[in-house]
Amino acid sequence: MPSPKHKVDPAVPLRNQPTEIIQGASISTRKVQTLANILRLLEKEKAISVWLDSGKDRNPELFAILADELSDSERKALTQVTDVVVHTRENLAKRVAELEKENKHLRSLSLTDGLTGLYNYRFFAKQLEVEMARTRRTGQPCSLMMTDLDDFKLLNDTLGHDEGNKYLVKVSEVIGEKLRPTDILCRYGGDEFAVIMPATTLFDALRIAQRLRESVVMIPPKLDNPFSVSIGLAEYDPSCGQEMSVFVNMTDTALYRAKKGGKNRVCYEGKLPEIGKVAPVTQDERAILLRRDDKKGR
Amino acid sequence: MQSKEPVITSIASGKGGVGKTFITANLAACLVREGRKVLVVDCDLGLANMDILLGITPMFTLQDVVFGDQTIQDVITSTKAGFDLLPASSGVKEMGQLLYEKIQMIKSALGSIFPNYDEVLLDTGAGISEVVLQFNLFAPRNIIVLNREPTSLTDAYAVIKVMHQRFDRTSFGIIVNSARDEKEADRLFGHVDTVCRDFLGISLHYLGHIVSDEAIPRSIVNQKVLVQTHPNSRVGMNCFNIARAASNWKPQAMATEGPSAK
Repeated sequence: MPSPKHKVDPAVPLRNQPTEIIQGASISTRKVQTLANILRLLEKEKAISVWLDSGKDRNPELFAILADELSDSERKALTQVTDVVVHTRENLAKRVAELEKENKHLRSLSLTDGLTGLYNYRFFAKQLEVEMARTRRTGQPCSLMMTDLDDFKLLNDTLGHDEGNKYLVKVSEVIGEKLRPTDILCRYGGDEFAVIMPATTLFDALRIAQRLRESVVMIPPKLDNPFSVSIGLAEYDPSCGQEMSVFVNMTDTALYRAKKGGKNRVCYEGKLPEIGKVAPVTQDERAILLRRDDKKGR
Repeated sequence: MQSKEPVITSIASGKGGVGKTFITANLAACLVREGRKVLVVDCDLGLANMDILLGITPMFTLQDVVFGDQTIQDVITSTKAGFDLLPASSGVKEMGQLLYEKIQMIKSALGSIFPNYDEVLLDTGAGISEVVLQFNLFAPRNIIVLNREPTSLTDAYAVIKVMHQRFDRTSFGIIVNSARDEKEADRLFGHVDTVCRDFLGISLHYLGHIVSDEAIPRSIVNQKVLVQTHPNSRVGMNCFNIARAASNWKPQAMATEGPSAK
């Protein structure tokens, strides 16, 4: 399971049960009684078929009614005793189409990706701006990682898009597990994932990227070759300005090199800091520091 | 006699437990005996222990300046050894991982009180974290303490290498602690100096050694400053020699960022 911190529930699609989504509204219990009576009456005369999803609750909020054969005047009569709107089937289909369209629009406005549940590009762009500003203000480092699945097209072409999608979800889970709570994993687009890593030096990002790369190779293969990813890394350098695209391009360049260099590897742009954690004392230096031969002293 | 610009010296070691705090306290006491007005800043944020070594319980610490509303003047306390101390808190994790912003804040607060002193000694923490490096960068003079342990030698060299490669520092003073004798101290210094010449192209400045002696742990247990209680002991003499050498040492290239840059 992916850690929940990287997951946001995708918007619930409404299209599954069109009969249930006729405009509803709150209605008092008294009115329900009245409505129910009317409907019973109408049904007795076989004028309509009715789905009443008033529920077992005392104060039903949502009604679902489909009244194909209700005449316009009957519908009007219903509207007068309740604020439930009764649609014809044709009317309903139109309404469903409208909702679908609206839904699609809303999804594009949302910040998560429908397939993987990860943050989408929109959120990524917003958050990266924030983190870059933070780095300029506080001087704390910020690194960016771009991953691209190797031979994803081959998988799609060979086993179909369903398998391809399943694999995308699997990879997003595997990557999510290897990240820290502060890392921000996004679906950048297609088979590309981006990870914003606040308060992370290029060196630390490099270690994490290696871990990710190894864990993807461990996913049970579907084709002859094991799965793999190529990863590009860069650390934000405030002296390069505020342009997000410069930072992203730098990371992309590294990713391109990783692909070009034979895939299944991590490349980075920029200079690794000369910090102690990078094991600054080489074997040669150590040999002299720790030698026991006094005469060669100084 | 007060100069506007105090001599600011950091004492670092790379590896912990090589006697950095002991040496800082004793060098400070030596300087006091030479008539200097001395401030010691415990920069070992997160694992501060200068106050414990001196047997004092500070009312406020540097932490109260960074996260509370104490001024840096309120936190400074005088010690029996004659120097002033700016104590830090121990066991406060956040202090060990201060953000860049806070380090800058401490630096500028320190800058405001420095004119009151002739000498400022920064007792920096172990390791080469950003906080440690920033405090070493703050001092134009960097002294590195090492002993015969292999890990001390490599860690001391690691500090020198990082300070050189990242901040262009070219001059370091070296103190060898817990040496069996002068010969061993010379030899240990020689090793580090050779590597610095061969690999970094810089040479080190030898400030002296302190012999391994029962008197040192005893003074620490008793929470006394050794040069004050036993100025004429072997260790005491070692300390005075080092203090003298340090006073005469003038690092050539004053590289990047001193306190004068605000």
